[in-house]
Amino acid sequence: MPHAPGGVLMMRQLNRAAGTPDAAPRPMRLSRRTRSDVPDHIAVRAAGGAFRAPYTSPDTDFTILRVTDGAVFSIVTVAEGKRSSGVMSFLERQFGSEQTTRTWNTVQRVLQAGKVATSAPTWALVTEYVQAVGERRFDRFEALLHPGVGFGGATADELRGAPAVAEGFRRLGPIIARNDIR
Amino acid sequence: MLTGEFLTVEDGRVRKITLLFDWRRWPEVLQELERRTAQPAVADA
Repeated sequence: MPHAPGGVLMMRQLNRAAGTPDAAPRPMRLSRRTRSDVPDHIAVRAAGGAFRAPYTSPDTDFTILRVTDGAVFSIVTVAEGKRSSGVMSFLERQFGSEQTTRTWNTVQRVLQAGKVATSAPTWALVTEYVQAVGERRFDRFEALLHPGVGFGGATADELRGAPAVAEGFRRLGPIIARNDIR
Repeated sequence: MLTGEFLTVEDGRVRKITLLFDWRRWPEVLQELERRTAQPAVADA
């Protein structure tokens, strides 16, 4: 997807309870013609009442392009010396505070990471990793680890190095019911 | 307790493992782990 000209695309996750669109989502192109590409009347019931997109702020600093079930697409004009926080407070007022914002560059990085993670060699490695843990073959498991591997999340202290991580999994062995890829 | 793992791969090996789970139930998991490891091992038939 091309970059929005002269602006930053933001995607915002909505609190589902805050708004329910009455129009089905449809693909959206980002270009100089974006405004003419989106429907004129996508209405949602939000905290402040009905909301229609596209919507441009009075100071034209941002435009809400589209609202779907769970996401808001907007373009923020980045001008020197001005802050872009207007869209943040606006969306919070309209759709509630349980939301997160990402620029389109970040969305692209996440998508790219997903492609890398599903490459064939990585998939084979992860499959063997899952099987080794599920079958409690911790020697094989250790061989799949990078020498500088780190393990975290279960305790405040992070384990470092393949032998320590493998030993940590051995200790968890008695409570591993099964290991699946989903 | 359903637990996910976020894996990072480097040079064909697993570089980073992060467990993802419900923290509120972790004490129950540790309790069960302690109970199971305290039991004497049962020999295979």
